[in-house]
Amino acid sequence: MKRIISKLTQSVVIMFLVSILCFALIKMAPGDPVLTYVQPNMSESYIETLRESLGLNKPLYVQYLIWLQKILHGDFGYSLVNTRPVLGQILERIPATLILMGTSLVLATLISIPLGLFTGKYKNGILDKITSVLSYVGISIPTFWFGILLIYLFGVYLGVLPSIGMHTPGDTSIGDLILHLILPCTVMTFVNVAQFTRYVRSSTITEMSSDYVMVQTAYGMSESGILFKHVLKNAILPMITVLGMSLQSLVSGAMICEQVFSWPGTGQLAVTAVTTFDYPLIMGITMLTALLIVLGNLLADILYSIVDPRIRNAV
Amino acid sequence: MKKKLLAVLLAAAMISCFAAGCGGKKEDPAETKAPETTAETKAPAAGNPVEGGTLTVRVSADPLNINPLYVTDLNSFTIMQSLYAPFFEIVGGEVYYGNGLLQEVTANEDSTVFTMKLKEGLTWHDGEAITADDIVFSMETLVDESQAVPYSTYGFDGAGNVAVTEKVDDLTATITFKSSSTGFLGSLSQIYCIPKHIYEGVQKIGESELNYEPVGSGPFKFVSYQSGQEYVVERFDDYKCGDNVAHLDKVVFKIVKDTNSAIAALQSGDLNALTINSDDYKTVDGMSNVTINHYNSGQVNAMGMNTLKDGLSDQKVRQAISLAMNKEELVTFSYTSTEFATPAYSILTPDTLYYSEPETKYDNDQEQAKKLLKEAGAEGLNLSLLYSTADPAMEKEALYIQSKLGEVGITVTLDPQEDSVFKNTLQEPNSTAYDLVLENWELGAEPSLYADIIKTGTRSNNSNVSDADLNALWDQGLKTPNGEERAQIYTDIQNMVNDKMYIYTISYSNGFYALSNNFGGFDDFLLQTIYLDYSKLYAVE
Amino acid sequence: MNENLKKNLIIGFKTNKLAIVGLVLIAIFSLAAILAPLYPVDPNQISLDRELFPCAAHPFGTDDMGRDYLARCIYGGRTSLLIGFMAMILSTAIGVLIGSISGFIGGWVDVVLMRIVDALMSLPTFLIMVVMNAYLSAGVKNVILIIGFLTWMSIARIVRGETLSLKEREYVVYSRISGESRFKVIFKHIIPNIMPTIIVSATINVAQAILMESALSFFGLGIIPPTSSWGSMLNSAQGKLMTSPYLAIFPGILILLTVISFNYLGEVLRKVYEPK
Repeated sequence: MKRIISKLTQSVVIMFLVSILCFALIKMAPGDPVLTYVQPNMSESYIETLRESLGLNKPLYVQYLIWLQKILHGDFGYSLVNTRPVLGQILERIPATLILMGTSLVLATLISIPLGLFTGKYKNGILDKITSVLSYVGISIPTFWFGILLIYLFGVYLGVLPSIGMHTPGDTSIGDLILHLILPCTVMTFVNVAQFTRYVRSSTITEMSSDYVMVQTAYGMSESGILFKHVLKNAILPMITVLGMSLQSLVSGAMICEQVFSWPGTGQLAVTAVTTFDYPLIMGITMLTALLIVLGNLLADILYSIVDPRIRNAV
Repeated sequence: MKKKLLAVLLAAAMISCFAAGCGGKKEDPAETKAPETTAETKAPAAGNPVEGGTLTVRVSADPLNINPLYVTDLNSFTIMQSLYAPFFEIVGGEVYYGNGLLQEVTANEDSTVFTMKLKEGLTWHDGEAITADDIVFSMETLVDESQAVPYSTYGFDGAGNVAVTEKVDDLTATITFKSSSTGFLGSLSQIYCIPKHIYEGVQKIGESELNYEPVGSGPFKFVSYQSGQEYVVERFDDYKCGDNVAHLDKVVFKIVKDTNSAIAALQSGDLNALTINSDDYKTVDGMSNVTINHYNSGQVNAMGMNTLKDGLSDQKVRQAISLAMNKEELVTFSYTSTEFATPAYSILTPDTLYYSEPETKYDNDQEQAKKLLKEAGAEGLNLSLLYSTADPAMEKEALYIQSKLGEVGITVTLDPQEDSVFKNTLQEPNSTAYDLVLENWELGAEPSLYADIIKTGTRSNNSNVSDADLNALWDQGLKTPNGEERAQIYTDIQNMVNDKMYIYTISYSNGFYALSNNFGGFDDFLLQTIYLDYSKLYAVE
Repeated sequence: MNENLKKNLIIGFKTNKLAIVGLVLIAIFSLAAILAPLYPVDPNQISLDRELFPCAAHPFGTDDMGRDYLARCIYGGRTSLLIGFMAMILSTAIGVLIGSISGFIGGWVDVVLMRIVDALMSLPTFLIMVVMNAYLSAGVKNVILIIGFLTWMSIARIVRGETLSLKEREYVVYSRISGESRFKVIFKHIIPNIMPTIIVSATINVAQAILMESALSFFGLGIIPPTSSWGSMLNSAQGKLMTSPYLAIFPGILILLTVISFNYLGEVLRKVYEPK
């Protein structure tokens, strides 16, 4: 409990630092933010009033405090580009991202745990070698390249899958959604499996050579029994950390993958925000993502100490 | 993608106000050009037109604001045109009522009073009748400072007096100016009517949530919008502005940011229509299921030379820069082929009134260029070249210019910028942030509008030219009635800009609209440059 | 100790043939990048011979601006590897410095530094990278700075952990008692001993930096034309997949091979340095 409370305080401190960094980042940006509001026929005095109403003439730390206070009340301000509320814009993009990233996280976990166990158990076997090469490809391939190759292969040449978007106009069925999901999800899953498998595999190898397993084997316990009862439990521990780290992707999405497949998620929104210099939107997305990263780590920490008694007892 | 700049739209607006005293209305009909769309001869779409069908059109980003008085980006403009009917369009310099709300617009003799007569039986998408009250409301919104309409300058005359709009009867309204405003018809074609019963009493119409579900007057009505995904419109069955209601059931504007994905989707049939640039022409041309329509984009591409900067303030240096390059080669290099863009020697497009190609070309003579540079004492010059990364042709132009100027001893450093940064840099008056800048403009058929790019104090004067002789000629052109004298003025201007080489014009580029072979009607659909009539597109069997 | 390491290295490479291939590839690419000027073709020479398929005069063909693609691949490798190595050096230097100071000095210094690291790690790195790149002007130098400054945190954490355990070792404790300055101890005793860990992370960081550069290129950010990098070449080749697929294949394969090689190398080194 003590541990959790201390972790919680740490998280709050981190979020505070993040908010300062985030604010500084935006203030570092070139250009006068008021110019975005200015129309050619506005008079100088009107622009000055505008500046005042935006609070841009106050000292920096006051601006920061005002901004922080608003954020704490869930007010992320309005987009400079289309004047719509930032939070609303982010929220309406989250379902799409959740579907894409959620599916690929689940799939990647389901694939990589058995794969990691197996390849760890039969180290240097054929499957291990193939998996190893593929996982290196997975972490080494530029996402956009992989994506466009898939689009041309399955969308254009074979013509079996839709190439872009989330659904066919006029068709809101789940089947249609799944068809659209396949390609982007393949890209994200491939990348995730490549990473996850390596964790599971290496912890399996460590566990397999642990004293406990040695003893059990000596006592004649069946191999599969050991693998699934003991090794599995310990080998997936690092997965908690990894999944905790991936939690943020459920909301922040994948900028490149979403862009290539025109997937209407938060990642694309972030790209739009950056390329149009929409500071409130950039800040909103950054803060939300940071919050989820911190939460993810916290959650992983807590889960970890519940699952692994060694840590619980150590504190 | 051709990104229509707000700057250009605005500039056109401002100029049309200065342009009081001259105008397209009195133009000699013989001078006007025919609509300039040409479908590609190769593989015309065979098959019979059928009613119904859904067309999926690519837009490159989410629309920012669909309210026609607040549309400032090309994507919103593209979508907005399916939802709202204009008062009328100007096609080939002539007033065209084909898809407009108005049956007729007439000006009194001295162009101070404009009488607008609505077609009969028009309704908004919600069934309310479109009346003169809507016209009055729209015009009053336009000039209301608190509403901050970006096009508000349209509602003022040259002296800055506000237009007064009055209802005569249900279908007739008049707009009255204090002074003569011949250019107003051009402006009026850009103003759209918004429904009074929807927007009346709204504090900030531009930011109103009512714009999320627009009630328009065009051939299609709003169905749904999903951010990052699509904007869907369906046929409006009571559309009476045109000859017919729309052929298509639905138009889906699909938001596809990545151009390469969009092109793949065009081939796979997930998209049916998109504008492409010359860079992608070859790829799209290779698709058996797509026809590329060529049209006159009205766009002039050029390189501005910032005359406020050392070196470039010298006319000889500017001429030398022009002489160092081979324009034909530059165009071939940047636009793949001279069929896609033709070398430009004047700041006016060839179909602009009083276009005349300057005699001296200052082209492709590197010996002369070196000589001039030596005379000017400007050897070993270092120049920066600003351009936008949004336009692939610009990068090619930039690389060619860098390479060719290098041959005469001018070092060019490229300064590619994200489109929004690029626009911001140019917006700043008398900016010294760049030496050379790649730019383009679409200003239409009226020569006086072109003052915007090269007159002291105008918005798009990216070369920061301040030339009293030139300014005097522009002013003269505004006052002079059409005829030989006016022709001579614009010929002089074109020659002067060329001789002093304030702007190195590069090309007149074509637009390309790729349309899947399942659809037809492009020739009637594209009225002019970016003006579209969606009711004309149809599906084919 | 050193002899032992050598032996382990040899064994490590022997058991992993792919790692040898990787090492050879890295050597070839690096050599090509260093010796690029020996290839007598100007990578920026534009011409109207556009999109020529690979032929005798142009072994890799030409791109859409008529430039020799082999020359661009070689010089592109120069840029990409330079970014990879320099960003790695920068991030490693910062990471090692912060990590060892934090671990060695401990106390409030440790707390402050580690919370800053936590905060930085909680920012969506790539988003920040894109934002910063849009703020700063483009160019190789800025790409290196941005990638370097945003990727040092994990190294700092690892180094801190190692330092914490090292500082209790006898010889470190002894030299502290004998009055050597803190920084001297860090540089003399701590850093040399955590070198293996540093090398492993550094190797993988090179791979990451090269990938990040290509990702930045995807958004049209990063280096300024006409300079080429594999990432920017790959990005501009995307539109030519149907007409000139080799334009995407060459840089794509080069990035893939290089990044895989560095990752493999890192893995082998890890095995060698961290015996079970």
